[in-house]
Parts: sequence; structure tokens; C-alpha cells
Amino acid sequence: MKFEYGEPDSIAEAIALLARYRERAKILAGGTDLVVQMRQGIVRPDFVIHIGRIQALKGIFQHGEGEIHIGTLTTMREIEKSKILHASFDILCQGAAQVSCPQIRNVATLGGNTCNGVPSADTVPALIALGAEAILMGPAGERNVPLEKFHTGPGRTIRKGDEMLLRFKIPAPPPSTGGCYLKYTPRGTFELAIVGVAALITLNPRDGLCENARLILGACGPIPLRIKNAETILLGKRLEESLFSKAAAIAADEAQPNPGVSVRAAAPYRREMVRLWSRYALEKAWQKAEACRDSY
Amino acid sequence: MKQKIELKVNGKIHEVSVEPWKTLLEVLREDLGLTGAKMGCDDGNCGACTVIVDGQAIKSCLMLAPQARGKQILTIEGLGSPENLHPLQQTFIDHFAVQCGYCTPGMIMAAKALLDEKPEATEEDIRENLHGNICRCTGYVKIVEAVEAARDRMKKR
Repeated sequence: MKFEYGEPDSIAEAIALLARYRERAKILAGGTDLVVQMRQGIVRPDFVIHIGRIQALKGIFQHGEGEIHIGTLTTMREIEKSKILHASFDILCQGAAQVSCPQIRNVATLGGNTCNGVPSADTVPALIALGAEAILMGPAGERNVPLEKFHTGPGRTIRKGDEMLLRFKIPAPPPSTGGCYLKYTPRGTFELAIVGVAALITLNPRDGLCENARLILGACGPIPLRIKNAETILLGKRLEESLFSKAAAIAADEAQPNPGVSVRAAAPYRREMVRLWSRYALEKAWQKAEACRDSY
Repeated sequence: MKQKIELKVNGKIHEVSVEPWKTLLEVLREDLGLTGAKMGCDDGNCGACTVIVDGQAIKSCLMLAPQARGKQILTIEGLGSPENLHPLQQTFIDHFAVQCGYCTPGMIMAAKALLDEKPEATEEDIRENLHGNICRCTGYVKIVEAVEAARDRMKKR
């Protein structure tokens, strides 16, 4: 492992380095994924750009009508413990709290978890459920990409070689919204997910009917999968267990587990776990939405 | 190409000249002779390399040395001295929480970060905060008891 190493102080400096090295460079944020990949020879960059000292990329800020901006360098721990996020964006806190172990969460960043592009990333399903956008910066300026469109394959994203992820923009969920991220592993959060499920339910505050639903699977395909057909059957309904079972069956059917030999779980097993954990996640999200409605 | 960086370790400033691909763990052990933090897996799984950086437990095999420039680094060597052990060091001995000892410095540093932040940590907190540290000898019961005993001792002081 050999590379040149730069520590830009500003976004402009980082962009200039990226423009020069493009695909030959790797952006280092926390490093919990990249350092291992480099030591194992999986990636061999000529240049490593450590962005960890750029203050403008850190922090959680509220904007306008409850919209939240989260800097790319914000750590899993900061998200897990954030009081601002716990109020309305709790599903993201749940995702961050289930990433690996405390030592990793102290260092690993939201931008890193997203850009690394592994299908089992624990924060990405929650970001998609919340309708988050990623703000990328390149030589031509900024562009916004919905998280739903950010990943293009395992380890691959829409980010171009001369672009960097600056921050996430998340709209405030409507009142009476409940969210739940469940991660299934046999031995706790330290393992990669066999199945990750993010469910978000919004109820009409007056009549309690389902106004909006989101169901996103992690670790069940080449990218995180949004199961729109499962969401649709919940819309406009008075929610109950049988509907969650139906939605979960659709999710199990539409999941795309790797049919080849997988280290963590065989495809039929993963599909069964999708059925189970989707139902649990939807039920929990619904209970939380109901609790919000009661206090509305 | 080697780069000069300043590392603040256990309250002392060290200037080292290192290749940027060296991890903090390698520099602590090989350049500074601080061999308390151990290399177990070298991919962030075992926790034997745990040290405290700016008050938070981290795995030093996953951090490049230049990333730690300017930060406050605490290793097991900075915790207590043989004449004056830190409560965690003493309770690990008293409770037989050490067998082969390889995981111990990492366990103690992870436990210290927890107790500094949460002096009232429960057994559940302790298990959650040590779950990134693997011990292949003890089965964890004695380790958790030792941390609970240190917590109680530190509260009294």
C-alpha cells in the first residue's frame, strides 16, 4: 500500500485535488471502510484526500420548515445521539445506532456509509425512506440527487470521479409519522445485516388512514430496494396486521437476494427473513405513527 | 514519502516521520514503542487496538496516523503506573478478568471511554460498549464484573 496523501482545509481545495486525480484518488472521511480496503489491496489509490479537517462538512442543522441538513462528515455516533434528529428523524438515529460497534460509530461518517455503496449499509434505507437528497459538488457546482437514485450497483454510486458529497438534505416528515429500522443479524449489530428494513408510515391526523408509506430493504439486492408495490397497498387504508403481512409478502417476493453462494445467508433464507422483518418494521412504524397521532 | 506529524500521546508531544499509509496503531507500537495497544485482526473486528482519541474510543488499526495529527491520544500506558494503577486496571486484576491478556488493554480503554462519559453505566451499557472487543478466553462475565467494580470504586472517589 503506497499513496500520496493530502489534507485540504477547504471544499474548494478538495475539489481541485479531485479534478487533478479523479478516479486515481480516494476520498478518506472516517476511514473505517477505506483503510481496510486499502490494507487488503481491494482498492489501490495513487492519492488519498483526507477531508476530515474541513469544518464546513460537519454537523446537523435545522433549516426553514423543519428541514434538516447533515454534513457528510457527521459521525454515526453524532447522529445516534442527536436531539434534533430524535424528534422527527428517529429512523435515521436507529440506523446509525446499529452500525457495527461504538468504536466504529465514533469515527464512521454518514457520507462514508453512503458513498462506500455496500448494499447492507444501515443508514441508507432510512435516508431513502425519509426522502433525503445528497448534495454533490463538482467543478461545475452543486447538484442534488435523491438518495433513492444514488446507488447504481454494489460499491457503485452516481458520484463522478471529480465530485464529492457535501451534505444530506432531509425534508421534515409530516405530523403523525412513525419510522422503524430493523437490522437482522444472528449476533448483534457488529455483523453486517442479513436483512435491513426501513419502514415509515404517515397517518392522516384526523381519520387515521394511511397517507404515506415507505418500505426499503437493505442487503437484499445490488442496491437498497424500495418496494413500491408494498407501499401502495397500504395507502388510504385503515392499517392492521393482515395488511402488513400482505405488504411483507410482496417485499419477500420482490427482494433480489444474491442467488450465488453468499457468506452470510442463502437466498431463500434471506427472503423468509424479509417477510418476517418487513412485517415487524411496518407494525412498529405504525404504532409510532399512532402514538404521534394520539398526542397531536 | 514520509511526512512529519505531531502526535499528542498520553500528554506528551511526539514528532514522528511516517509514511501516510501507516496506521495509528503501527506508529504507536513501532515508532513510539507503546506496545500496550495490540494488533489482533488488523481489520477493525477484534478491538484489541482500542485507544481513546479526543475522549472517544476508536480502533487504531482503522485510522491512518496523519488522521490523528493534533488530537489527544490516550493509550493504556497513559492510564496508571505500576505503583498507582487506574481503578479499571486494579479491578481487572481483582476480578480475574485477565487470562491471556491480549484483549485487556483494548477492553480497559473501551471501558474507560464509557465510564468517563457515563459514570452510572449499567451492565447493559457495559455490554453494549464492549461488544466491539473480542475476548477468546474469559467468556466476558469477569470482564463485565470488573468494569462494574471499577465504576463503583470511581463513584466513591
